Amino acid sequence: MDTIKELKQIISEILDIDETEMGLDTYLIRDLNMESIDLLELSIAINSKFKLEIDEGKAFLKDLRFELRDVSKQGISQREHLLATYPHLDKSRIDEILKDLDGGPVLKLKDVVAYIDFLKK
Amino acid sequence: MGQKNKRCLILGGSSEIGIELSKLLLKNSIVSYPTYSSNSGLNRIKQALGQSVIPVFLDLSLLDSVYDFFNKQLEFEYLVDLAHTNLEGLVASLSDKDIISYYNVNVVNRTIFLKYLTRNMLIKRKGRLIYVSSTAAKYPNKGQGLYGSAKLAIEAIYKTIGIEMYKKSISTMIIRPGYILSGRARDFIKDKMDLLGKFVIEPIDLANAILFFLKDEGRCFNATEIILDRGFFSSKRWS
Repeated sequence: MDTIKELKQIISEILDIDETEMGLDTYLIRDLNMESIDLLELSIAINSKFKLEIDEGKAFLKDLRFELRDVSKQGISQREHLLATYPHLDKSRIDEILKDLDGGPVLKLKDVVAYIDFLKK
Repeated sequence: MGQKNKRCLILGGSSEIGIELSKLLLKNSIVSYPTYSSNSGLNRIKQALGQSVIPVFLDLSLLDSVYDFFNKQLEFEYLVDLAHTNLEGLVASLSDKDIISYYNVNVVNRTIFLKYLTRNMLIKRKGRLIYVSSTAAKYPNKGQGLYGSAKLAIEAIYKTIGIEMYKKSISTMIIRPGYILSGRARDFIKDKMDLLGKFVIEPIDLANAILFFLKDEGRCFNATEIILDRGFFSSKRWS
């Protein structure tokens, strides 16, 4: 089973929703209302199913706003800093995130998929 | 969640209260896993309970013991936490080493233990945790600075777990017994029977209260504490 399919299955069990309600561009917090305890459950399930130790800060972009605040103090480019901090995300996704910050938590299903695939490599 | 055939881990399971509780759990078809941290503790469990329980080694003073415990991949629906090391002394007279060691065992390592236990419970989406604290958490006597403060700190951890995980059917409850005729308090209480006589709690009283809060009937109590002291500390003499 591929990462996206397995991840959808896990999330559907956690939130008791249908897998068809999710796509790669679904926001986990904004659209699905996932709370921190749901993300913890997701982290444990990923650990169990994929046999991966995940860093929740990176996988769920938990520290994103702190990272951006710190970087602005240091005068470094936000884009370059996020690319270095989240190596599983590509340039186009980082640009998308930077434009999307005002809308709320930016975490999308595809970010978690990218993180898992990155760890698998 | 009916309680029959559920598995209950008892931290501090070789204590007098732990053994009383194991007996009561067995009567209620709950499988008891009392922990021990020494051979003498294991012997106490075996003498009192024979083969009816499953003793498990866990020494909270050693973080490796906590990790080893989880490597055994045991699963529990219930936890009753009775464990606490003994150290009394005026705050200003305690050694630095004792202060560090005390909090490491009773707060730091215990919190790490709870982290892993509740992560395991989260996979099954069920769990009930009862922490046996003490009235010393609110009303410490002289010499109980570390004891009372560690109890209060862990009460906060249990409360927070109950708040954070209730959505996932994992809940917590804190019982603060008053003067209980057991272990280290026995001699103190016997010297003060004229004052405490009617208010003394027997180990079976506490075991019965724990069982009530484990059962479905008590599960609406979450992330809160209750005092078990026959009303002793409600008197304005103490508050």
